[in-house]
Amino acid sequence: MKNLSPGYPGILGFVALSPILFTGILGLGGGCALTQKQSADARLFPPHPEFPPEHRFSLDDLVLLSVHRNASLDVARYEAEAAQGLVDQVKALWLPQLRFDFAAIAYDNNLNYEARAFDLATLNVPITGTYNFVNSLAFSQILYTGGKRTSGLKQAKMYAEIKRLDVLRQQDAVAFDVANYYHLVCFTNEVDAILEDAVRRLRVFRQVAENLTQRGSLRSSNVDRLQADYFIAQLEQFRVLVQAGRQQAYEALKHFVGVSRDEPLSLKVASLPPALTATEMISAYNEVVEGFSQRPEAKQLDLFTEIRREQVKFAKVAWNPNVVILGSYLDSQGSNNTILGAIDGLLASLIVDVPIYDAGRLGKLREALGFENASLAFQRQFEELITLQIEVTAIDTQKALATEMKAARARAAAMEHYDATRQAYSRELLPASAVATAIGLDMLAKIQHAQSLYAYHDARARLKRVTADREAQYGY
Amino acid sequence: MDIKPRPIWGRSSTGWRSFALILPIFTIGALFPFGCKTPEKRTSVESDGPNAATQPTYDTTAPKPVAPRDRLERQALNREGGLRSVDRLMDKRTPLPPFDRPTLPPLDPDQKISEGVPLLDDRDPFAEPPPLPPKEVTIHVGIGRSTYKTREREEVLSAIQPFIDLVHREVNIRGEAQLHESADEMFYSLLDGKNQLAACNVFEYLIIRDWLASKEDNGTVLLATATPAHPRTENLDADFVGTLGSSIELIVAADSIYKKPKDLKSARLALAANLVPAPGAFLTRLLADLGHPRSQPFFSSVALRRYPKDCVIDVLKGKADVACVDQGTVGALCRFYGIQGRIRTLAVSPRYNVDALFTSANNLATHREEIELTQRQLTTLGKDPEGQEVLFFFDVEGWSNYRDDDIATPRAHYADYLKFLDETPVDLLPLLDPKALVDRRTYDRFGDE
Repeated sequence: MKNLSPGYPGILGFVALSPILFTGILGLGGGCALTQKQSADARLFPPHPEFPPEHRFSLDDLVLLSVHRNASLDVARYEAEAAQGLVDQVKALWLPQLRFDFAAIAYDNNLNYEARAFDLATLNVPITGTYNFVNSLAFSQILYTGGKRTSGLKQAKMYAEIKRLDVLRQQDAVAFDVANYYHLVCFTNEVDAILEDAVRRLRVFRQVAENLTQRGSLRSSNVDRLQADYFIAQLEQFRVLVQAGRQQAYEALKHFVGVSRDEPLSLKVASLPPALTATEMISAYNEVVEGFSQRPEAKQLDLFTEIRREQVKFAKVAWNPNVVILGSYLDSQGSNNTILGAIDGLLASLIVDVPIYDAGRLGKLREALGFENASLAFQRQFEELITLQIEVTAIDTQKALATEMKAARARAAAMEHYDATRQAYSRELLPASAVATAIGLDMLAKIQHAQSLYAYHDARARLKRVTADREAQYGY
Repeated sequence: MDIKPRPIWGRSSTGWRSFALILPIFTIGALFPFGCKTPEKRTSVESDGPNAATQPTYDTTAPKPVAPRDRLERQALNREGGLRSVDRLMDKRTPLPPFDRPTLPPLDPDQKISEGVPLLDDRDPFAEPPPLPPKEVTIHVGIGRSTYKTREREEVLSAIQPFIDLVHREVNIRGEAQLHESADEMFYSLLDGKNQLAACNVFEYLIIRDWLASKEDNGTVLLATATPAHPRTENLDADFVGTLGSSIELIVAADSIYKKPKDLKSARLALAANLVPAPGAFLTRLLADLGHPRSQPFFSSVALRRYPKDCVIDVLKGKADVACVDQGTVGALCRFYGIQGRIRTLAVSPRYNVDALFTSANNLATHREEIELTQRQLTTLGKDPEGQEVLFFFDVEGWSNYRDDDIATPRAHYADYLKFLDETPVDLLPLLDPKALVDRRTYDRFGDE
C-alpha cells in the first residue's frame, strides 16, 4: 500500500503516451498555432511566505515552505502549464492559418524541357528562367471535422486537468515526505537524548564499580564494571547509528522542503509532540468516505477513463468528412518565365475529404473499445486499492495510537521501577547490578515509547497523505 | 531556344557540380560496402597518454562486442560509408557541452538542527569525548560518618568520585573527599585548613559551629542543606515543620501490644549502627520524657544492626519488639515489600535528621572561589544524570542553598543532642561506642536471613 502512488502505471503510461494519442488530432492543424492569451490567468500562485532569518520552523511552517520551494512541485506545475499549451494547440484548429513563403531560385541552366513526340514534333518548353523570386501567401481554415476537433479538445482538456491534479498529488506526497523526515529528526534526536542519558548514568555506575574494585571493596566486582562497559559500548554504537540517522533525516528534510544546503533551517522543536488522547479516535470508514472524494488520484483516474471513452467517440467520428478551405496567392518575379507567370494570382479551393472505405479505422475503433473497457476495469481496481490504502492506514493510525498509549504505560512503569530500584539499592534492599538493569529497562521503555510515538505521527501523516487532507494542520 | 542534349554533369567548374558528383559516391558506398576493410573495433575511449595507441583505456560504458549475423547488421555496426564521413565533418564541430555545474555548497558548521542540537562534525562526526586533563587538587571536602551513615568508606569515596569529575569538567576545579568518623576530626580539619568544605548531620554541624565560634576571627558558614528523596510522612508528623521526610520513627509490629512509648518498657530495641545523631537525640528525649533514669536500662536488650532495614525486618520476624530508624528506610521498605499493613509507627521525632554543607571563615578567606563554585555544582547536581545518580546513592533528592529557618527545627532540639552526648542513657551507649558489637547478619531481598 505504501508504494501505491509510484505504482500507478495506467496514469503514468497514459501521460507518456499522450503525445502519441494527440498526434492525429494535431495533424489536422499543422504545426503552427497562433499565440493565444492564456486562459488560466485567473489562477494565481500564492505569495511566498516570509520568515525572518532567525525563525525556527514548526512542521506546519515546513510544509507551507515546501509548497513554494520543492523543485519536484515546480516540475509538476510547469508540466501542467505545458499541458495547457496542448489545449491551446487543439483550440487553434478552430482558427485559420495564414502563411507567407518566399523563394529565390537561380540556375546556370534554363532547364528547358525538350521532347520530340513520335518524331513528329519538337517541343521546347522553357520551365524557368535564370533567376526567379517567388512570393506566396497561403490561407487555410478547417470548416468541419465531424466532431473530431471537439473530441480532441475534450481529451486535451481532460489531460491538462490530469496534469493539474498531479501537482496536488505531488504536493500531498511532498508534504508527507516533509512530515516523515521531520518526525524522523525528532525521533532520532529523542532516542539520542535517551541514550545519552542512559550512557551517562551507566558511566557513573561503571566508575563506582571500578573505584570499589580498585579500593578492594567487596561491595562490587570487576564483573559489574565489565557489564557496565559492555552496555556502554553497545549504547555508544547505537548512538552513532542514531546520530547519523538524525543528520541524514535532517538533510533529507531540507531537500524535501527545498531549502539549499547553505541555508539555515532550525527546527522549533526537535522532539516528538505528544499523541492525541483516546477520546480523539478516528473512524476508519469515515476516513475512507472523506479521503476517497479528496484523492487527486481518484479524480485523475476518472478523467483517464473519460479520455478512453472519448477516444471511442473519436474513433467513430473518424468516418465523418473533413471540410477545409484553402487559399493561396502566388507572385513570381524573374527572367520572364512563362509558366511561373501563368500561375501567378489567387488560387482558392475547398477540400471535402470523405472516407468511403478504410478498414484500419475499424481496427482503431476496436482498439479504443478495448482500452475503454480496460480503463473501466483499471478504475475499479484502483478505487479498491485507494479504499484499501485509506482503510489500512486508518487502522494503522488506530493501532499506533493504542500502541503509544500502552507504551506510555510501560514507560511509566519502567520509570517507577527504576526509581524504586534506586531507592531500594540506597537502602541495601537490592544489589547494584539491579540498578544497572533498571537503567537499561528504563532506557528501553523510553525508546519504545518514542518509537511508538514516531509510529503514531508517521501514521497520522500517512493518513493525511492517503486522504489528501490539505486542510488540517500537521500540528494536529 | 536551342534543343540540344547536354550532359547532366557537363561542367565541373562549380562547387555545386562537385558536390553532385560526390554525393552518389557516398550513397553507393554506404549502400554497397563490399570490399571495404572492416576497421578494428574500438574497445576504449581515446586516451591522452603517450602510449594511447598501445595502451587502451578501458571504459565500462563502452558496449560489449556484438557479433553481426548478416550483412545489414555488419553494415549498421561498422557504420561504414557516409556516417563516418559525417563523423569526420561534424563531430569536432558538435562536441558535447562540458559538465560545469558547481558543486553544492557544504553545510554551514554553525547550523543547528534545533536549539542545542548541532550538526555532526564534517570530518570527525563521532569523536570520543576528551578525557579530563590532569588537575591539581585545590579543594578538600570532609564528609562525616553522620552523612554516609551505614555505608562503607569505599562506597562513599567511590560514589563521590563522579561528582568530583563533574565539578572538574564543569568549573575546572579538582576536589578530593576525605572521610571523618567524628565531629572533632572534622572540626580540626576545617580549623587547620585541611578541609575547605564539610558535610555532616546538622547536629554535628551545630556542635562544630559552637567550637569554631570559640576561636577568634573564625566561625562556620552554613551553605546548603539536603532534602531526602522519597520523603515519607506519617499521621503523627503531619503537622511538623521542617524538612519533609527527615524524622526518626519508632516502629513496632502492627498487631503488637505497644500503644504508647511507655509500653516499650523492657522491650527489645533494634538500632542501626552508625545512624547516630538523630536517633540518639530522639531516644534521649523520649526516655527523659518518660522520666526514666539514664543509668537504668529501659529496654530489655539493644541490638546494633548493620543496616536500618534489618531493624525493621527484625520486628516483622519477631526478633525485636521495636526499631528506631529513619523515615527513608521505612518508606523504602513499605514501597519495596508493601509492609505498611504489618507495621505501626509508635512515635516520630521532629524533622531534624538533616545533612548540612558548610565551611569556616578561615577557609572562606583562602578558597572563596572554589567553595562557591563547588557549592553551586552541588546545588545544581540534580539537573545532570550523573548528579542524579550520585544523589540517589545517598537517597537525597537534592541540595538547596541555605535560607533562614531551614534548620530551625534541629536548632530547637539541639539540646537533646547535647544531652545525648553528655548524659547518654545507658541503653544508647553502644551508639557512641566504636567498638560496640554489631550484628552484621542481614536479610536478603526475599527477607531470608
